[in-house]
Amino acid sequence: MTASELIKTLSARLGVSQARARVVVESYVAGITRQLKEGNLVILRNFGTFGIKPVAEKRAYVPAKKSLCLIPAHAKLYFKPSEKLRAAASEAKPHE
Amino acid sequence: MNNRIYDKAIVDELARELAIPLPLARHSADEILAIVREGLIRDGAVTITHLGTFRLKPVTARMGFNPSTRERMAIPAHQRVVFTPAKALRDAAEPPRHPAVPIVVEAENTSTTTAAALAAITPDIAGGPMPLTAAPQRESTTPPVDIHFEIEPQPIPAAALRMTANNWETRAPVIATDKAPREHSKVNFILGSIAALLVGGYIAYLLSSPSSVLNTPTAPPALAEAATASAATATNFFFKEQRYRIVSGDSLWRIADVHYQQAVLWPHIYRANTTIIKNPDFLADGLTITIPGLEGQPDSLSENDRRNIAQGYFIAHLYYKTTGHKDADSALIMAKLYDAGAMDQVSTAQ
Repeated sequence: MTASELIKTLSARLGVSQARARVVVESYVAGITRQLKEGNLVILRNFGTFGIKPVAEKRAYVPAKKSLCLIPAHAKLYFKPSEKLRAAASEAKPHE
Repeated sequence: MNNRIYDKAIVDELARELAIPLPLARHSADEILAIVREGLIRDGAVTITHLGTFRLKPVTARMGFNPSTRERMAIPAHQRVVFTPAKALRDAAEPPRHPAVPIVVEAENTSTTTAAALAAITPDIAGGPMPLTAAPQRESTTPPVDIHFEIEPQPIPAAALRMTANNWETRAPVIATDKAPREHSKVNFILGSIAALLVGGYIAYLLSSPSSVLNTPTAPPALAEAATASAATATNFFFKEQRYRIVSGDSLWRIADVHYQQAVLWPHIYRANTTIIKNPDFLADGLTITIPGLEGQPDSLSENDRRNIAQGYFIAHLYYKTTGHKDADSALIMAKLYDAGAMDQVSTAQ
């Protein structure tokens, strides 16, 4: 499902124009982004959790240079699906 | 910082920003998540602009274990939800990163660096820094010992002991018809029983047809069953070849334990990846290796498997010998245990 399909479906279900549906999605995403930017954990019930977690420094192989490099410690955005979403996904029939 | 923000707060903010009533905002937010959930199940992927892509990723069945009881358990094939954040979201939400630093292995110029270091710490001594003379190379008084590999005086490695405890050589072959199936031969058992049912059905059909009542033998069903079951066993691979990406904390030993159920088979993986893995004890993150298939079962290996594993142990022995690793001899013993003739082929190939 592409972003435009999402907006079309949403506009049909809410009974609003597609332009309005796009604004709703954009401000919803902006709200999540704003909370993540402050370092907060965003918990969407029955869907999942967005958060920022620290990653320790590690050695990694660079195939292009055939050498090793040191990746410094950093923080990474993650999404953890909720129990319900995970259960639904594991029962879904495989695609392709 | 690090507060828990629930969907209610996001919805409140949405209502304030768009100046719409709260119930409508809640309904809109629920609908967005519902559409994403449905689209994910239906199409396997959903993209939201400036947020990212949710995708279903198939996971192959594997043997895992219960971390609290250490009990082996089969994990069936399933699908996992993975999320790839959009660049806009990462740029906005993730703190800035430092660039990666290449690790350069310095050439062997240790004598000059030690000289420089000594000069740096000894300028206060009267008369200036002491003149540095090259330290004499320590020479071993005994010539390098050529190891003759007689098995008797060597201690038997623990892995070999574990293997003999498993009776890997003396164990009888699997016959699906008369014994309860072992854990990993379930597929064989199912194939065998399907074949047996088919054969049984055919016999019943023959019996029911009046013309062949007299000449239907009684012994052949069992024989036919055994034949089809053994044919199913012969064609069934325990493990098919697959690609695997190294993650932090992986070792060949651990990968072999997970995929072959026997960690001592790790040289099988090593042998197939000698072009990219030189040191079997070090795997770089992100390296993609090939995990070769096993033709037989882990405790009743086929001849090819045993030869490959023996060669893997021998290549590990050659590597360990150049680095003076303590496991060099045990690797050779293991190679001989698996297939004594396999080492000649490797040494002539190199």
